[in-house]
Amino acid sequence: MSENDNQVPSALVRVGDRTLAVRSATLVKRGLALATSLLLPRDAFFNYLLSGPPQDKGYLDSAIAECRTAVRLQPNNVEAHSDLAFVLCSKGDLDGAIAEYRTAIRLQPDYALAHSGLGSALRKKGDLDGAIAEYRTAIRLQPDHANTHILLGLALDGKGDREGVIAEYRTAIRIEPDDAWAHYSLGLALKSKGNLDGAMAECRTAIRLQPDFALAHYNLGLALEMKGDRLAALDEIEKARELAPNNSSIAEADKRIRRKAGSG
Amino acid sequence: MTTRITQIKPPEARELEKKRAELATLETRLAERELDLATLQAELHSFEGIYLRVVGSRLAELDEIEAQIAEAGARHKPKGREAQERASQARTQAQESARAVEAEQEAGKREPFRPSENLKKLYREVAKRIHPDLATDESERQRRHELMTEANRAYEQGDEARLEAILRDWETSPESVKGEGPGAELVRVIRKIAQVEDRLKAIDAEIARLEETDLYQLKTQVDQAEEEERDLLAEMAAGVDQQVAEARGRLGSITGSADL
Repeated sequence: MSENDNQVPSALVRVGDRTLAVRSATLVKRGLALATSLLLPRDAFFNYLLSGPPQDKGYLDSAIAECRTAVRLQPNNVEAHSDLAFVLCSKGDLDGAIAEYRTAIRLQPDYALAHSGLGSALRKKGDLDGAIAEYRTAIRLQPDHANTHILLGLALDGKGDREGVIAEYRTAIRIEPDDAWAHYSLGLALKSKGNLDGAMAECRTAIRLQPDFALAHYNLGLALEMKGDRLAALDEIEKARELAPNNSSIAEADKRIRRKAGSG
Repeated sequence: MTTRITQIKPPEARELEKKRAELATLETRLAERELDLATLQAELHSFEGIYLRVVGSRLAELDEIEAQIAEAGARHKPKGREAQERASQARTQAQESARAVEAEQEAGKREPFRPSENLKKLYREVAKRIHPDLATDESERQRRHELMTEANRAYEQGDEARLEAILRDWETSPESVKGEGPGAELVRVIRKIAQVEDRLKAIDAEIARLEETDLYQLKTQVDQAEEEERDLLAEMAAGVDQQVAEARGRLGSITGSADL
């Protein structure tokens, strides 16, 4: 239907003089947008996104239910399918997520976010080649989306392509120099290649950009430990532990470095 | 041996019989589809009125305040082209919204259109008998058209008595009397079939078009919400009320008036 169809002031019907006069198409259009915003479960979805991985599974179920309502109300809404796929993926229903992402892509083949999301669902299923193909499609469609480069880096990491990983992270940083996660990811990649100075520099940048980045503190601590600077390492690990008290890896590292520092 | 004499109908009469049966089926279908269309239109019409009264009037109020804010801004920047244009656009929108709401207020309060089964039955009968596409000449078509206009109005108003009267008058009118030979009648029936088929296609297209409109989609959302025991129009009205209050606050801070 063309944009003008809803702007015609009145539609005459041939039989009789029945008229359906949409007296103000603009008011109706605004009402439709308002109604849709009220019906779509955006609040729950965005609350979920903001809250990070939910500890409360019931909340995730609620987000899924609301996203399903959105899909039912607007079966051709690409974002609704993509949102549902995202929460299904978070819940661990990878097959459900893949199906929803594929529906979104069928509805809008150039929707980069759905390709990227599908890549992540496939990656979690262990299909690294499929994931890489989807990430590359997403990047082709939207080359300046830093996060997709990071995700592609993660998939390449799974394939052992370390050079590819570093190249993707560097691209992400070039696109978004203030992306703490990109610096942190590059730091990890450099650490795995034995470039500890480079790794520490990237982790420090990540921390400068996001001081409460527990994993960046943790990995900086590990790199410092590997460099033999146990006190500085302990300092970073403690910060990480304060920020993420329930993380068992950080707790283990804390214990281990303390033990070594005590014995040294 | 006895000879059995059977009366063989001439080909024209047999064809006429066949075509009449075909037309009868089509007439029934046509009446049903006309009813579908009339119901959809009446539902949308009444919904449009309710929507404009509950939500549209508030949006019009919001537009008026936004126009005043934009005009106040334009007064502060008398040489600012952008501010002047913004004020002009805001005023145009406010006027359009106000006109739409005023037109609805003049039409009076509407109730949701919920036709009774008897009303539907009567309308179906009228459409079946009086439909303009069953006319065989232009003057008859005009007469039928006028009656259908009246029938449509009566249907939308739920006026069963008027529909009954239209049917009664039609049955006793000269137009309802049929005659002439089978040849002429066959031509007439074939022409009617073609007209009815065209009309059926037009109805399908019109219903599809209506179902694509924003108004229909908005109505569908409101209906679906109602099934979930939500009054979406009231929720929308509350949302706009909040925007109106915020806009009043902004206007007050610009003009220095606390009570607007």
